[in-house]
Amino acid sequence: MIEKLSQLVSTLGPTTLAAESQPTYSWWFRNWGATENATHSDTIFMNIWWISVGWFVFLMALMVYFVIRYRRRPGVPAPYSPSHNTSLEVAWTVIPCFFLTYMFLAGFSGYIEKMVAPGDAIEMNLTAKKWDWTLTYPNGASSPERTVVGAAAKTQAGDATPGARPIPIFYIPGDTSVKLKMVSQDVMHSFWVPDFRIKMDIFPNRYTTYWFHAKGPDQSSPVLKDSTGKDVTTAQGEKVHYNDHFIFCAEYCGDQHSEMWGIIRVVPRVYYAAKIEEWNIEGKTPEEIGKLVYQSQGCVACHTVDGSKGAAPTWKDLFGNTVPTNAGPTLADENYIRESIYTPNAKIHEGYPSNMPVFTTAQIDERRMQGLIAYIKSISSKAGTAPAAAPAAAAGQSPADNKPADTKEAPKK
Amino acid sequence: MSTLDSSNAGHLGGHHAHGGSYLTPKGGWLTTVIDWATTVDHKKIGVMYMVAVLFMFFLGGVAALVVRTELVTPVRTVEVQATDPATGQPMVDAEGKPVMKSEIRGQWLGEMKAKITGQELTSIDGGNNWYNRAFTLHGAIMVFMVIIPSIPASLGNFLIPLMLGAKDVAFPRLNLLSWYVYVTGSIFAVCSIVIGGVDTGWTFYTPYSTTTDAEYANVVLMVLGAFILGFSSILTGLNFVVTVHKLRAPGMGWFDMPLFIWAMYSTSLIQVLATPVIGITLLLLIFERMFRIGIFDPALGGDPVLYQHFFWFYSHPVVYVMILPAFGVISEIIPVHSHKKIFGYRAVAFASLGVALVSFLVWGHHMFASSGELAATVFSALTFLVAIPTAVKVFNWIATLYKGSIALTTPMWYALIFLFLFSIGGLTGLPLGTLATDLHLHDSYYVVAHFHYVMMGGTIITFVGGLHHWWPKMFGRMYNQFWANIGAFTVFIGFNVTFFTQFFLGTQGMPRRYASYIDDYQIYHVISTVGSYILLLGFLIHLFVFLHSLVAGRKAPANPWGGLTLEWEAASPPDEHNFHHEPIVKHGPYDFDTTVPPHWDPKDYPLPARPKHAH
Repeated sequence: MIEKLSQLVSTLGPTTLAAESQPTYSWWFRNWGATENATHSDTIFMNIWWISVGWFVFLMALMVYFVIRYRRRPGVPAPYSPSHNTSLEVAWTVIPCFFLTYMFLAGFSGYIEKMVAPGDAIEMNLTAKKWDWTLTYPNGASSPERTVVGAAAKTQAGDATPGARPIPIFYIPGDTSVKLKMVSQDVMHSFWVPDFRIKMDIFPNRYTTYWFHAKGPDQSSPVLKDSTGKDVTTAQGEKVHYNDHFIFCAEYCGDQHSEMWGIIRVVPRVYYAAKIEEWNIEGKTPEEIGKLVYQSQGCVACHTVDGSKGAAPTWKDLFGNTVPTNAGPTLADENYIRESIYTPNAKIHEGYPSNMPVFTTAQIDERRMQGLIAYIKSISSKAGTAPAAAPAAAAGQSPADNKPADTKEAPKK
Repeated sequence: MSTLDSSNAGHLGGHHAHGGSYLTPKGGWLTTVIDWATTVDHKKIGVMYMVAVLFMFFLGGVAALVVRTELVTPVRTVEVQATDPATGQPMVDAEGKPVMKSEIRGQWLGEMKAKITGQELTSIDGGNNWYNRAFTLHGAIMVFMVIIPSIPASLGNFLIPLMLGAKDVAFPRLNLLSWYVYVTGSIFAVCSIVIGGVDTGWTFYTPYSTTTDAEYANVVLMVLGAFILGFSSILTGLNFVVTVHKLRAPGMGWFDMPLFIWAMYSTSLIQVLATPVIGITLLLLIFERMFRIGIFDPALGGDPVLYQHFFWFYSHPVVYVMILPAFGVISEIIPVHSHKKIFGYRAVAFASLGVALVSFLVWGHHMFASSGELAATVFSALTFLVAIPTAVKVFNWIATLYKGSIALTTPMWYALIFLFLFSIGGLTGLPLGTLATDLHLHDSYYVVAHFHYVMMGGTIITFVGGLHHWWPKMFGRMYNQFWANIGAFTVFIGFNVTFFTQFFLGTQGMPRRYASYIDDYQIYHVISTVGSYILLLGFLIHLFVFLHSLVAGRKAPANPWGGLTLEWEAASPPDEHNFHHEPIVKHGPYDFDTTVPPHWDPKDYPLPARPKHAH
């Protein structure tokens, strides 16, 4: 008993059964985790599992044996036997306490590892909203890359065929400690990367943190390809290896909670540095900035730009047209767009629920706002004909001659 | 060791004419209905609770099958062609292919809203709306309307006065009121479902629950339903506490009470102490929703974590409201069907009280992923404390089997199934109390599997087992044990197929309350769904066995299993006033080695020779 306990306690420390010494996964996990903390946590889980199996088999074997051995025989009474035994009862109360103490201590040590980020961790900001994530890198850039997880686009993290919502891909440097400062824009969410074996709730009123130190991709990891299928290379001409890990929202947040996913793509540090520089808005035209913001802030999750139906109004040909709102028909000009982003519930587009999250000026600053407006203008045919000064007069009027042919309300006039 | 059983049995013939069994109709069907609707007889109220609970179990079960069926495929399983809101015609896309409802997000809800409000169908929110409603429905019904009242309200009402040798509970009219309050609360919940359902999950976490479907009354109705059901719990609990204190038969000291009574007593204490907390919390939620008073919603200056604290301060103790009565039932079934004194009576009795006490100190373990480090550590340590009294009980039950005379009747099969399932449920809780592993497993399918093993494998399995144990007493009819055993076996297989797979889903990363998932998980979901249909089959077998018993079952003797507690001294079914004379307790509830069971011939029950050193 003592030996077994000391053996068990010896796994408490940071040195654990590393992935190398466990070549095959148990039934329980899809892999032994993408961080050392994950591997440690799996070791604790497996230890508890085998302790539990031991107890369970012991108890069930006794039960089955007693049921067979002492089955009822007609006319034969149950023999007298004591119904109380102090030393036995004390023993079976105290022995489990040793196991429970081990579990508590092991859990505590793993918990501290998972909760306390090292001082040199890179800090990034993560915002959650129904039903999307935005990650802001230290240089202010955000990842505009997204993918449709499904039959058409198989990812390494696992094949999937959910709805066609594009989910964000966050590039993360390998072999680097990363600390996320997380906050929600609406209801509660929870950030869970199963491969990291940790989740943390996200609240609308305070920050929570989440840290990890993902193992970097090695030569056995897949090679990143661009949209044409060619290998992506760094500036030095080296192929880029990567590892993908799914992000799931783990706190129920409404309608599309079950599609609130993301992908953490662990890449070499050099490639990460190049990527976030590429997404930096410095030196870009407003239209380019707008397109980046459209993708990185998650507008793309609900608003389409090709006129097709989404969970929210399309941006195609939005600018310069009159939209039906609960406050009456409104001309979609610069001020309408601005108002709809900072105070979305001021006017709600008819036929759509009030699901639009509130953005603050910290998330979308003036430069990005100008960019979004420029981007929406660039995909609207009326953009040139509706000068910024005109809307006050036009609002609420909805002159029929100002309407494009595609709106159904036009014949009413 | 003669007890009053002989005198009770002796009176059966003579006194039957005035009164008779509580089931004897009072007249025509209208008279009978009015009689039942206005009855203050604890037995009738218990039976009415049983019928109501079984009906809600059916509703919740249908919702569960809807959820499981949807999860067969990673995307929508149930596909229905959408209707164009403008033309009312089936919708097709540009190429003439049919457009499914799931592609138009939220058309299910939209149609429901349109029907009720008469508004034009315009809503385009949410393809998962109906899935979210199905799992909320399942959770809310099973927790608030099935598991919480299952054993306490139905078996408890029927058995507590009988086991104590009393004529009725302490406050019979309050008892009837509790039933009507329960029905009223359930009607509120059903109304909420009929007008469109609730998509908050049974936990009603804020701020989602205070903002979703803001213009509709569904959530308020459902929360109000839960609020009202709480009062039913409080009143029943209060009634039972007073009954146990004041109405024990002469000669019955605290440690002569059956362990079922101990368990019910502990349960009632929790109900009286914890339910008011959820009551006021739900009221605050309604205030916030209707009058925008900021308590939990940060947009109004509130704190959502406060809601979680309030909610789990009730809902964790209530987990023991669900499981303690099951412990009580098992503590009855095992000794009776083994004809063996329970091992460690006092340990089992005090373990019930111990669990009730500790249950108030562990609510924080539902919030490891949201609370601060120090709080989480303290709650983790306290959580492991609960494991000890629970483990002790399991050891006691298994030790009771030792040197028994074990009859494998249907109730006994259920007790053994309980030991199997509940051991898994308890042991799989350990990685959830362990902080490091809980951060991974929290809100995953592992948790879903764990609490189904405890709540369903513990409480529902025991409820069904208890029904089989006391069915002859309640309705005076035996049932077909062969088919009942087949049913029990089917339920056992179906249960494990359904829920054991979900442990793997959880560790591999499947979150709770997901309608869509990555393809890797599909095989487990398919197995789990097959299991749920096996479970359905098992419960249907039980339903037919019970119905057959009521119609054509052979008449039950007063004491079919040879139990020693007082309810077995009464007739089957019991007379209206339970006993002809107030029983006097002369033997312990489990003295099988020194007492011939009431109504049994000593020739059929030879007492064992007592060793000299025994006292």
